[in-house]
Amino acid sequence: MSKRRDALKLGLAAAGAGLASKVTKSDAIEATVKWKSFPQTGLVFPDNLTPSIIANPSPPVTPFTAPLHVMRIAEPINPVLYDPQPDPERHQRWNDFPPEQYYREVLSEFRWKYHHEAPYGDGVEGNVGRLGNQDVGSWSWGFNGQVPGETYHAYYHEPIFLRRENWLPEVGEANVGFALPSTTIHLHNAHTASESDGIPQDFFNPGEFWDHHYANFLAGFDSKEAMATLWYHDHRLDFTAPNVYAGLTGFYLLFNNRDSNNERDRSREAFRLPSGEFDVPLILHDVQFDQNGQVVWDFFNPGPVVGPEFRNTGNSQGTPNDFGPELQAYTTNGMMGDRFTVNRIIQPYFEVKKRKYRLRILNGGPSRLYTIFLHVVPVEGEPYDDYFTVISTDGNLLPRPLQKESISVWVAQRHDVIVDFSKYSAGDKLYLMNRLEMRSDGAGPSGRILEDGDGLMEFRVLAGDVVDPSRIPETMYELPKIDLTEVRRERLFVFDYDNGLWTINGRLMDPNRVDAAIEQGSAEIWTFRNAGNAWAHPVHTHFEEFQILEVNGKKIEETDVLYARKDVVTLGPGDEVKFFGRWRDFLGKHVMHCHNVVHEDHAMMIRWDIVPPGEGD
Amino acid sequence: MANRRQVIAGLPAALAAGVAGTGAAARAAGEVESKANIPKANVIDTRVRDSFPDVTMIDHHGVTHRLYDDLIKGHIILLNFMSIGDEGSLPVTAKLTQLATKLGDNLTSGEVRMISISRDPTYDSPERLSQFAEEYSVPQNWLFLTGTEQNTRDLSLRMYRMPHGQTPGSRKVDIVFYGNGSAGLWGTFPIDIQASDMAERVTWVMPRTKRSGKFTRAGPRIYDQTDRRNHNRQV
Repeated sequence: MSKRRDALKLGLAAAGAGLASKVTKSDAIEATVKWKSFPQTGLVFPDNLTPSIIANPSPPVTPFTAPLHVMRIAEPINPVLYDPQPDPERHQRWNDFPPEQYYREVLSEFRWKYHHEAPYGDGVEGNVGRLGNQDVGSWSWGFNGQVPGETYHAYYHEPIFLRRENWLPEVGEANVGFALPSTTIHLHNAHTASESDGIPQDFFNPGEFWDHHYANFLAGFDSKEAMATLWYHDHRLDFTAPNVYAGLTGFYLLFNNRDSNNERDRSREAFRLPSGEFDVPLILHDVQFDQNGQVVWDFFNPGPVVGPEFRNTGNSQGTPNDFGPELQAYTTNGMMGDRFTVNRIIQPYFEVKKRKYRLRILNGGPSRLYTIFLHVVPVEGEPYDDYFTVISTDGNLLPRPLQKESISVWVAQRHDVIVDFSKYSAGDKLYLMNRLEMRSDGAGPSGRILEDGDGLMEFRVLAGDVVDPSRIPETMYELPKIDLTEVRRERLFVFDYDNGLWTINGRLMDPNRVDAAIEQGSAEIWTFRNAGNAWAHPVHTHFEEFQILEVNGKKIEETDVLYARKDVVTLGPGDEVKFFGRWRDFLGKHVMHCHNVVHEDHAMMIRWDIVPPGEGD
Repeated sequence: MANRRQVIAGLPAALAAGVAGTGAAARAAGEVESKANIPKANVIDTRVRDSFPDVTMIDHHGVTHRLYDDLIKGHIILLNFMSIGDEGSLPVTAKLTQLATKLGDNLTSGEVRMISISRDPTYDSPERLSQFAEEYSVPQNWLFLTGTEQNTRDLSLRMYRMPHGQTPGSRKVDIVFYGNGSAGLWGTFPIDIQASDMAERVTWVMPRTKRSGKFTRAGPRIYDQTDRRNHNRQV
């Protein structure tokens, strides 16, 4: 393995093109194409231990035979249609950012075909999503009849008003039984006032609507704060994980005069990144199905009891209980599915032209973490790994593009990458391969990357040369200046485990408790410390991007994707991450939480408020 | 605090001792092996009864129940784990008595049931639990359950992995499960939120009367910076 990785590095340094690895072609094809009931390479379960994904695996399906679903672009509506009309009094700074585009979303339940093969679909090739027999498919919750929801194309300086109506069935009447038909939709990580942000407490029930005002302006009016790839998802208090899993996610893309959604833009400022059909959002979810192809949620979260050291001494005698490893236990660790889906299609294929594409890769959760490689299986020659040209992390364009052999995609993390398919031959196939290896004690990433992997999706290179007007810019946005004189205070947040539960500073979420009162217009330095040696948390804080100062005492190199504006901290075992952030422009309630949404629902979350200057804690 | 052996977070499954197989063949072999080792006695069937093991438990009146069929099925349920010995360091029951008061008619009518399961069945006999319940003036439809070691263990493992503190008295946080035994819908809340918040959360999983006619606005309410409520809803 180390040989291969070294070879890869050499290859990148030397030629920029990938090198052949020692994996044989037949191995690679077997690894990528063959259906695997075993869900994740690198996972080996202890003797006698049977998570339900192994005991009751999803029905088999032939990977890379269903076409990718590309979400349609949301269409504005005429605002006269709103009844009642939008009410400016309900929104901060409405008059500063009067809406110019108006949208409506209907949340409802419908069937969705994750694949055309039975039991997922009606057996007719190509019939995925809403196509084909309407009485077949997995019951799902979505937006305007789509799962994931429609993709927004929004522009800076063009504020949006969005009304979301909850048409979901009442409790007990839904076909999706595990989720709560009461929802709040968060726009991650927009610079949005509390009342439009979709905080966990702001839910709306069937028969109700919620109005969102997305001002689409730069934080602090700083042009270096421009964001690009955002997403929206359910954030319901106690029920985020099942609601997200049921389908309540979608993309919200923000453009401006530089990242202008036009690869033929003649403006000198424009980056001319691949646009239109060549700008493809990809959301990853791992899903578990029953024998009828219906989505299964183990609401108490299956997970193994690991190791003989596990003891319960919480009895009156203080004596250890013998909870042997033969027991099947349920944990708050996370929910894992055994089917990889991209845009809610199981291991799809996507036909690509010989040109550059912008792929916006997002891990929608609920709990699985990925390290993704670009694996090439050419028509001629040996398979090899190629590199990604990474242009953004956490939805924010980097100071300059970086060439990386892999991307780390924890829950809620996004990476925009450019892949230039013109350098491959017609008939070549490329795969997004997940190769994250787990620790041998079952506790987290081992830090190693496997030779083999799981194919998440397949790209098929079409014949024929095409014109490619898109470009990869040499530079994009410099990072906003860090001015330490703005720092009003520092805070420490310790992430830990107590009594089977996940805590922040020893406590669980109480929406009535303000855990941090931050003064508007101030900056703070926050330190996230993982007190555990064995678990990991993708930690997200709402509202503003931050810049990491140090990871485990080390500064961030400019060639690191962490040299960026961030909204998720990947807090691995024992990690300590320190960052600088600003809180500007609005007042109100927000949250910071673990984005493993199972942890979040078990209250690994704090409330923080932006308060007027002088009223902070 | 943290036992480093404890499983992790978000990381899907676990792993074991041992080296990951690299080829598909190795994985297939591993799969067969692990399937062969599915424990017969303690497997929880995730496809039925909301995954509850339908174990027999005894309540503090000395009455025997099948946990799922007799108590959970068809009811709105609050369920927690406790022990008489632990109440001193983490007063869960004391907190839940406030909730019981807030629930009022919903509890007395039997629409909502509260179930507190002992995780110390050796000491927490039905008699002791009865006395304990009396001390807290526990109302009707709140049952304290005990049973065999095996059954209480199966339940605690069913609900969440329960080290319950590495040493007695060290627990600082806990949660209560709330669910709808008809719909199979379950959530949790921490025990240190306000009792009125607990009572509200239970209503989230209860059936609501269907609204007819025009959609109504849930929020946001008229903006008022001085409003200290914990949400922006219009209620």
